[in-house]
Amino acid sequence: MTAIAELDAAISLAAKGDRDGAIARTVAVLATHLDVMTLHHAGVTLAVGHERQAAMALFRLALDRDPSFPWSRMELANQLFDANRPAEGMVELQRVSLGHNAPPTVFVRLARMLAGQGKTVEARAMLRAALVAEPENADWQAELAALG
Amino acid sequence: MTGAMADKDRETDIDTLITIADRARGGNREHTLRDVVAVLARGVHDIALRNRAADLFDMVGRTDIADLLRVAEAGLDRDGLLQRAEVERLAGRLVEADALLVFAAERFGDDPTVRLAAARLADQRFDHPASLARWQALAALLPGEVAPQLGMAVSLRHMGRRAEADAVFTALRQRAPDDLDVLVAAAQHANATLNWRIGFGLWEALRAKAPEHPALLTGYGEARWQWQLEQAASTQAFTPAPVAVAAPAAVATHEPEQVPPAPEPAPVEITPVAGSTTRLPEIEPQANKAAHELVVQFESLGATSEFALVQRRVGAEPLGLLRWSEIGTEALTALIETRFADLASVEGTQLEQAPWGDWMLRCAPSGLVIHNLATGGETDRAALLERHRGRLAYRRDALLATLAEGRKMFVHVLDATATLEDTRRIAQAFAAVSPGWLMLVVKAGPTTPAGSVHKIRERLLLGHISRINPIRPGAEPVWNIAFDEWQEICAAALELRDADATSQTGDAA
Repeated sequence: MTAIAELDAAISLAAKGDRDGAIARTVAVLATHLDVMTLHHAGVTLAVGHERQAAMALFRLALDRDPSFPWSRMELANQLFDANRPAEGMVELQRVSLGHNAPPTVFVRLARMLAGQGKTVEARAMLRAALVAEPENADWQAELAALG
Repeated sequence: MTGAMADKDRETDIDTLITIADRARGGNREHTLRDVVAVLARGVHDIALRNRAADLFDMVGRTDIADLLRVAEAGLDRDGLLQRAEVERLAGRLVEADALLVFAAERFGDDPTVRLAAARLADQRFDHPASLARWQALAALLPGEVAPQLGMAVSLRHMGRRAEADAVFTALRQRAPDDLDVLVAAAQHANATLNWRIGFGLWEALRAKAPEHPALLTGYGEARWQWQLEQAASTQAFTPAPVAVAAPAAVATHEPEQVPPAPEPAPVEITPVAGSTTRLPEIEPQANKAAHELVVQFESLGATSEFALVQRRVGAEPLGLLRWSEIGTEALTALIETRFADLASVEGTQLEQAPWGDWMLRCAPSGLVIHNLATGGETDRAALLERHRGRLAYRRDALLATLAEGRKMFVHVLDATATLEDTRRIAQAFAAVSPGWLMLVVKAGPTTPAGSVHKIRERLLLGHISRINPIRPGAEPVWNIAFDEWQEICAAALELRDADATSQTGDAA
């Protein structure tokens, strides 16, 4: 689909009343020529400004360019949680955790969510994975101990 | 485009985006989408594409963004140049914007709109000599207008020519006593020149005329707090400078904390004014009497100015020593254990200025930092140090008296790295100097949701909020305060204290 056709599709969305969806699509088209880091920062900026759909569109665009970029995926997960779509958010976090460059905080977040679901064995495994990266982190050690 | 140029452009884009995000975090989200689109549009050179996108933004009611996108078609006429300059300005490329406006001024020198844009941009670039020259050019075009005169006065002050700035403001106040812009600028000038009494009077007058004015929150709060502090320290009566008030105040008014009001009709000459910049967040004032009455029952024991801003938001300006402070849990504990003996000697106190203009006292050896002495670069350093050193002993004694009285509930935000032993030690130190209650505030966790408060031992509470501010301590602070959660934990803390008192009364009966 050409960029003009993408915008025509966005205009159709606006005509149907989906203002935020139309803006998100338009922002994504405008961002077509940008690199991953700029896309990511533009997404974060929009997220801070509560333009959630547009932010998610940019995070997805950044991930299209570089699927292994963990920060855009974590931000996308945050937006999904905020949008009350926890299952999708969890999937994105799990994708981050599988990457070679996964930050330890993603394991901690997953551990807390798993613990909240009563999955203590999985939660412990996640905390151990986080502690591999930061073995001195007392908070995480305490959380692991609290899980028994 | 070469690779190096592309990298440079990318860095500029990212810096601009971070700046926009910081502004949004500070509560100013109005222009976020527009500013981001301005950055994104830099990469789109297809006019048809930009126009189609502009059509969409028109459809969804964002004509401001649509106009930005159509700038590509603008020519070298006046409006085209102004639009291009605005796009460059929004993208953070102030030098390019300035060049366009200088070019526009050469071509359309008699046009006030062009001159005004050029003068404002010079202000934004902190190029004060250029700013003064441009405001003067505009004043020559519009001799009867107030705005160019205000611009000149502010530029003069920034250039250190205070007497000339004072003269311009005095003349303006006489010529246009009912002009709100003049009143705001005069009040800001008073703050910037540390003339708190004049400033407080002017802000009171503004509050009466325009209670919703956005400049009120920071300017009025700062002037009121500083003026109260001066009065309390000198044990004189508290009264604002008399300024003619044309309309009744429409917002809830609150008596100043800790200092009894007393009329004092001393006449003052208004000499002082403007451009005081503070990196405190642009928080929205709330005329909420119940919230005001709630937060004044608390006294801050640090660790940062977060709770001070929670109080300021609802118009409360108590004078507590540690209200505008920076101190870690361990250092605070040591200070309480020694009854703030550290502050008895003034030799160890040093005056410092933060990169964002805030003057502060640093007290050795505790490392306690007291903020909000003044903001701005034109301050008389020696006089400021002398004045605030002299007040330390008074303010320390006042805090010790408040602690000993125990009526207020004290609040301290625990260090993120604080241990159970740190908590036990600060509680013990506090109990030795106060019969009151202490609420320690920490970041909420999975089992301790934001807004919740728990009693963890006798007269010791643990409150939880979702984020601790500022978000980037050390660098220029970025504030995103969870005001509602603070209100919740304050209310919950008082409920717990009252319930405890009730149960003890019952036990005694």
